[in-house]
Amino acid sequence: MQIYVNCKNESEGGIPEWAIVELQGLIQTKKQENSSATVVGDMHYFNRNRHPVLVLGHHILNGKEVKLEHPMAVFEKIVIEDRTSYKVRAVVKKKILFKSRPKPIISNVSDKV
Amino acid sequence: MSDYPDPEEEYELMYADELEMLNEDEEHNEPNIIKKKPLPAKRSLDFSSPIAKKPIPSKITSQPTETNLTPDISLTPNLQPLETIEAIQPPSSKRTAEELFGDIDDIDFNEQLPSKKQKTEEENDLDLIEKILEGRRLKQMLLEPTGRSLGFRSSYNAKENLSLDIPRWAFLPLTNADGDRVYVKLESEESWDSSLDMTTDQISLQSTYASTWDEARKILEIKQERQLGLVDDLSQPLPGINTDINGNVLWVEKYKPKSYVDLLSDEPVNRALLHWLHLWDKIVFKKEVKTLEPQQRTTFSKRAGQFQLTNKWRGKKEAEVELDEDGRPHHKVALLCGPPGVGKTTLAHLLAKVAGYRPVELNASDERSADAFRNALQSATLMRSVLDAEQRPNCLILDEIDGAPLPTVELLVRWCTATVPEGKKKAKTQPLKRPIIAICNDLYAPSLRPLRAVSLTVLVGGVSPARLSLRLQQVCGAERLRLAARAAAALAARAAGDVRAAILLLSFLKARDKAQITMEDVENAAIGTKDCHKSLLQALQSIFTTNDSDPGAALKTIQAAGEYDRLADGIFENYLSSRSDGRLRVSCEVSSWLQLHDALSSWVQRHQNYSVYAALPLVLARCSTLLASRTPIRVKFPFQAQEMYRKKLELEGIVQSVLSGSTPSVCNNRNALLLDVLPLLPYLLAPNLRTANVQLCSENERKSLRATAGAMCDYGLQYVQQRTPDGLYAFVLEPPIYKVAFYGTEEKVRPPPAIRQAISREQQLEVIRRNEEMASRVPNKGKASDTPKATVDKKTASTSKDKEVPLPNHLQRLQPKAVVRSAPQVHKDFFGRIVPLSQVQRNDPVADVISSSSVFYQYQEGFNNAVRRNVRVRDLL
Repeated sequence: MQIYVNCKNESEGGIPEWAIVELQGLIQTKKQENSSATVVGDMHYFNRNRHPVLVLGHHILNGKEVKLEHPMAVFEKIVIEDRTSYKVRAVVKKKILFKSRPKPIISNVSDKV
Repeated sequence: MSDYPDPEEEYELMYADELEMLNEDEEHNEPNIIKKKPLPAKRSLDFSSPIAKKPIPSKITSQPTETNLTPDISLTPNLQPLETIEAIQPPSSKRTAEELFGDIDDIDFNEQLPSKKQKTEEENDLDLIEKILEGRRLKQMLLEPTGRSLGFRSSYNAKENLSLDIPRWAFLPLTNADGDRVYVKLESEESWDSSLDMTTDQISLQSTYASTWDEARKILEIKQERQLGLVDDLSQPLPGINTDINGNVLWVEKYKPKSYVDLLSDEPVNRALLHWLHLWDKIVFKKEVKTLEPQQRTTFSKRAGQFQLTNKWRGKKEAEVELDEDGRPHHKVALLCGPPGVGKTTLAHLLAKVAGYRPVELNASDERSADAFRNALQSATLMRSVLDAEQRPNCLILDEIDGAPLPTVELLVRWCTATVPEGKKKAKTQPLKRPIIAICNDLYAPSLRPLRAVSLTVLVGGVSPARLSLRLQQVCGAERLRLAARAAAALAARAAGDVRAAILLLSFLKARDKAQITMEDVENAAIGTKDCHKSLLQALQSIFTTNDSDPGAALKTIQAAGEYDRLADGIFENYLSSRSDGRLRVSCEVSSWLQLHDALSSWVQRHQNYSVYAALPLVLARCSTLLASRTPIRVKFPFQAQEMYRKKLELEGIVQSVLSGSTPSVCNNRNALLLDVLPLLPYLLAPNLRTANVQLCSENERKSLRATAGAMCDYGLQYVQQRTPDGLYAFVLEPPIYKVAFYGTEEKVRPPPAIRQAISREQQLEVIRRNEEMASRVPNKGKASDTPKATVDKKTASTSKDKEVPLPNHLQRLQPKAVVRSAPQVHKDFFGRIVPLSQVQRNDPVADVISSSSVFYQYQEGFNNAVRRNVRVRDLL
């Protein structure tokens, strides 16, 4: 039995590198309907130390980049005429890990404080 | 235990005691003789002595002259010491009793006054008076210390014993300030004594057998001693003795007991303490505590039938387990107590040595503050002396602990009761590992109260006179001092169990260069009497018992005891139970005396004028003479006066609280409250209800309930729930007026508990009603009410309002303050211009986005367990 993996990429830039975002927690939404894609939050890198920061809802999460022990590949299964082959879409070598307790963002602060 | 004397020895000791006690009995009959002034006793007894009476029956001639002169006779005691000091001369002439009184025969005999041969009796008396006067003048003339006695002597026959020329007999020349020389005749002691012995013809009916017997013995003793003195005179002056007296060693120290058998204190006492010391062996010397073999124990019990004390000790012994879990005795401290001088300190030191300890003494002369005491305790109980060659463990002896301050005693108790510290943390105090012996005189000193609870109390009684006199004779034997058995017994009786005082007196007598000690020496010595201070109870006991030997003893005891008020209390408490006759005359008289005492003492207290204070003991002594009897009574300690005082205070407090708690309208007079209201109030407070359920009560009953509640409110009474000792809750009237109104018979009047509860509820309602009434009273003035009078009030009030007359302060009520709503805040810029609100709020749109975002994050604490899914190969194909 053979599994065909197509390593060639159409684009000339070669296989892109992706990253995993790992959160210790759940992303939840107040809205019931989950049809369309929604903006979850904004991820940035601090300029000074290249640390990732994720603003999620009214929370701000500080994370870090971790190099994966085993690099992973993201395959795409392609079934053409009863023949299954896989296409490598991306390579994952690192993950962005947010495991610390999030800090709340206080808004609506009274001026008189 | 091996250090104890063996049973046989001990038996001997105890038995000897008993025998001695029996012998003692007759000696105890005449303690008053010992205490009496020597000369009067001798005189009166000399005359009655049947032994001395026989040899010279014819010498006494003139009784009346003697009685005339009796006042002067009291001067004669001064003669005795003088004559002993003077050089002894051969008796030139025998002096007899009648010589003393200047009889006719004597004057006839005198060659210097031949003219007085024929005179009538009256003339004789006149002559005698003249001579006495002349003698007094002579006495004045001879301004010397010895002049008094010499002068006196000249008063009876100055012509014979004094001369202005140089006489033929032995003399002592004396010259006065004017240059007049007088020659005084010297006499030997023997002639004086023999003259005393002669004057024994008179039989006095008043003298008792005991005193006669005593006198006879005394005379016999004197004669015997004189004979002995003749024999021993050569061997008497030993050079070694004087150095001893002048040496620095007190006899008390020198003749201190050296071994266990030398101890004078009671055998059970010694044993109890030694046994306790041996209980420490386990922890101090790491050896097992020996227990008595049963065989030995039976021998003890055999004898226990005879000796109560032995029995007691044995009983204590049988109370087996005396060690606690640390191997120390239960009682960490032995508390020795007893009167001064009986040898407590000596006992403690000796037994500590016997048990193998090094005694470390701490007494009143050392500093005894808590800190100093802690140091001493630490050094004595935790450390060990380096200098001592034998390296014995210490035994701390705390002398005179009753004088120590209370914190010190408390520290000691804490020290003793500290147990082995548990846990790894090292405690500051270590458990006591050395015996401590505390010594005190007064076991019941207030500061000793905490110590008494944790200590083994050993009472050291006074040494029995028999043993003491035996010891005194031993001491005298060692000191080459002759002490007659009688004198020793008298000395012992005088010391009343105080060994130290007795031995000190002995050495004092010895220091006066006496080779032998006679009864007179013992009687005349001013020192060595036991301090006659007695405790209150002892004083009371002696007040209520007849003292045949010394009628004045009661007065002395009372004066010594000092606390007259408490003694009076004691008499008052006991006088009805002691001596009473059918008509209560004794009791009446005693109570009248007590009344006098009360009046006097309260006068003294009120005026702080102590001029009549001296009369108080006399009054008490009078009571004593009225009450004293031979039947022994158990004197009760006077508690009642204090008890009553306490009760009075309590009741007064109750009355006061009722007075202050009741409304002024119902009572304002304390006496009226006390006499008229309070005794009847309980009846008012007991309404007649058939059932406790108010709903079921009739109208009448309800009314009486209301009346009760009203009365309670008026007098400020209320029922309070109190927890009784058996765990139930009971309604108790507060303040407890039942105590004032009744004498313990309140149960009849007190309503049953259920009704009490109903009354309590009604009373609380009544309080609420009254408060409401009070509260509504003020608004009624200002506002409308239903009554026409109130409308009138309203009119006047409205008119007064128009005039805006301010209300009096007590009618004013607080009005709630209106809350002012503040205007919305206006933002102003630096120049004071008002910033529009929208501009202000525009500053935080971001925050709005954040807070309005529908997505939020829910952080999950703990370990992040990633989800794994199984992937099959066929799914991949």
